[in-house]
Amino acid sequence: MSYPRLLALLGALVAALFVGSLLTGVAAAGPGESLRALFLPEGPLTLVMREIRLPRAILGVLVGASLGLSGAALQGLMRNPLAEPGLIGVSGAAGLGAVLAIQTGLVAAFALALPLAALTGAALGVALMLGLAGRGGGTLGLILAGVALSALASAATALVLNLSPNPFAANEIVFWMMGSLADRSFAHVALAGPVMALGWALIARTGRGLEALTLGEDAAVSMGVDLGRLRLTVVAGVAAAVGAATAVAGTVGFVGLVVPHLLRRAVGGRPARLLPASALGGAALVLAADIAVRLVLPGRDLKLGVLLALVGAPVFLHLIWRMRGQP
Amino acid sequence: MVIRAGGLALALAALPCGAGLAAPSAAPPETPPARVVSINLCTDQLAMRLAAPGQLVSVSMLARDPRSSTMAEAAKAWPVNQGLAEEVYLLHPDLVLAGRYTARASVEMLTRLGVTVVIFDPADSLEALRAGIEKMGAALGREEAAAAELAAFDARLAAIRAAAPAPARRPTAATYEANGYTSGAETLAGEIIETAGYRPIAGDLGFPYGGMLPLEALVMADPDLVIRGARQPGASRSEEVLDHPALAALSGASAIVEDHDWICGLPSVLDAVERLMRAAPPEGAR
Amino acid sequence: MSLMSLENLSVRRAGEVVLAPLSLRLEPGECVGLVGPNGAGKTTLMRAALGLIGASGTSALAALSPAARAARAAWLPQAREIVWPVSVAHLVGLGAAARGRPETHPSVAAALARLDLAPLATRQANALSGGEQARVLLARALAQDTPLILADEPLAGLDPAQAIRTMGLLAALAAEGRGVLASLHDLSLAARFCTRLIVLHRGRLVADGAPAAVLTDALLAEVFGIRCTRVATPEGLMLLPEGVIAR
Repeated sequence: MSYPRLLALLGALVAALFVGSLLTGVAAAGPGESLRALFLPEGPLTLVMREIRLPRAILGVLVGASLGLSGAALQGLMRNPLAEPGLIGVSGAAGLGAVLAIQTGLVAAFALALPLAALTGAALGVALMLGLAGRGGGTLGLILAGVALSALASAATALVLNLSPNPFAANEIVFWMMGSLADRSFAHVALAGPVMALGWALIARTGRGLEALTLGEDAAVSMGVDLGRLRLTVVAGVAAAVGAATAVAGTVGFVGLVVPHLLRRAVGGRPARLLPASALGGAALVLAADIAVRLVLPGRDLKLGVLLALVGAPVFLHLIWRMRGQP
Repeated sequence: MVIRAGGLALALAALPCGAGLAAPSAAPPETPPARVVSINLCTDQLAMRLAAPGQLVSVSMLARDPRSSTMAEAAKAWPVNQGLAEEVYLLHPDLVLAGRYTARASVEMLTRLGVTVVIFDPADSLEALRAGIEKMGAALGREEAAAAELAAFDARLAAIRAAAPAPARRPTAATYEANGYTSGAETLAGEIIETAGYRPIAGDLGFPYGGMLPLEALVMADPDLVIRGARQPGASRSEEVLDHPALAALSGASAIVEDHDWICGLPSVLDAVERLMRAAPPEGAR
Repeated sequence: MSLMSLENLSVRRAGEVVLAPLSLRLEPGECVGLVGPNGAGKTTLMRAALGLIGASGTSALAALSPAARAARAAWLPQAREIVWPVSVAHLVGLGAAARGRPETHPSVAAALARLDLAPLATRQANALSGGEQARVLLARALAQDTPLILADEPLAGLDPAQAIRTMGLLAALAAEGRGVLASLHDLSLAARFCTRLIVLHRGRLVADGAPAAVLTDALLAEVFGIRCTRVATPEGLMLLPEGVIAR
């Protein structure tokens, strides 16, 4: 399949799932009525469509695109199809920020305190990691620093949960970490959107460098790639995109790992082409999962991260199983 | 794709919205609310007790769970909700009752949509319990009903306190639940134990607010009364410790208090107090 | 102007001198073979010259900006990495991309043609045989269209026919006016196709000149520890290693 055709197909899929997400919810209204209410003011249904379902659908696209894009970029940089956004520890750091905010009661201070705290956690975490890895650390140094940050954030989160005097807060933490888009508003979109856009802008510039890395680091450097700058750009871009996504949606795993994997053959293995394709693929996957959580258990808050893990793990195992005989 | 959606969002934001996005209001309205929806287990039960007929429109689904709710049967008279904003908003409430730890995004969304939300903290003492009843009365515009509840509560509490024995030495008590969880001394559970005439030792053992108590510490402390939770249906590994022989070998008396007895600050906690009083070992028996 | 000029270039690693200070120049038209036993420092020399590793002394190439360096020299590393399942045509096109040129640039088609890769153009590069992959990677270096080509053991793992063809190509490229520096183990092929040989021994430059002049019995014994029979053939000097000299 040609590349423009692939992108058009993925784009159409995302558009269809976007509409599907808009039409999924507990309100007892048919598709036509719901869509009409979206555009023409028509009582409470309009508010439901515009303030509850529309931002949720938009966030599905933004979060999915951020995770897919980041996964593709990291896999390109690390030259390893097993790399995924959690590797640089930014989702763990964002989680720790959120957890601390919940634990200290800071979340009650103002609306959006929680996502802001998560974003702060992500920023501090990445700064720490880059300080550890340094410019001269190389890709291996980067991976190790990311693993260290992840481990630190996990341990700190577990400590907070362990010593939490408040079982309700502990519960809230656990549920937040499972990942969800339920009842996210345009305030969340406004907070996370610009940060994600910054991340995408940074990652978009790395296409050429990632292509050259197909031949290994040595050859890439000789072909004019500034490896240190490339690493920094990818990490900063991933940190912004994934940090913002985690800040509003909690920990949603799997997308960054599986989507580039699924689409790699379709783009002829080319890292630069995989970037936009993975963004669209990620958006489609998260939208589909977010629709599923509302259809499988209507009205209940089945967590997005949980569903993705439940469905994603067997899919991934199947992929690996199929790859057995290949180089 | 994102640009399209963003553009759509911007265009829609420019259109006048239906109910408007009101600023969050802190105080309940002047006239009593006519359609109240509760999305938290504790506010469910308080509202069910205090609301005027037809005032309460829906309760959370936990209200019907006999393990968590003392009014599970009564709750069947109201439709249940799952607590998410879309469902609650479409019930056209003019007041929503929520707990401090109810899903944050849902509460924020409802506030954003212009719905008045009153948030209740979990009660951590009998004083807080009384304050909660008063607050609920004010929120529902049912101050008289609340005052009546409080009067009944105070009278019963006074009677309990009068009837409580004052032994030379107050017997000690500790709670012990799945995973070795013990309720703290500075909590509602702690105060219930105290009112029943015991001295909760959780504080001495270093758990003012509750936590995982090592079995060894419990055995060494050898409380006069060990209070256990009821077993949950379906085995769980966390409940294994409740079968430990050391626990069975403790010489003190044992009593069972169910979750729903004291998880919420309701007047019915006094039932738990009375049950604990009946479990007291006779003076001088140990 | 020299394509590559090194002035007192030396490399230390963990306190040890891995490459002793050396100076040399490489001019257009030269096909230079870099020979020496394993561990002599051939790869180190080339990577230091390119500026891929830190070194003291000067290398004009290393001082260039990454873009200018990519326009001056193409580097063919020893490790033949092809990470992703890309097509041969795309991979060769990466060479042109290094110069900021699109995949459709004539240099790409020319490189594919020169290495007989046209029938394999749409195949997945890392699914090919070792020899074919070597050709693809060499084509990439060619597509970069640079005056200088540095190749680290380009003949490793190639069958005799392909080895000869590869050397023939490198010599032809030099004859066309480019400069080639290739590290080699096959002394016969080096002698036959290279216009100049540089011999490294334990990090030192011990000989630099025409192959016949450089590959004396004494040098072969001293540096390589071997005894050879020389055979003069129409194609050039042929060296047949006969035995190892006990040291």
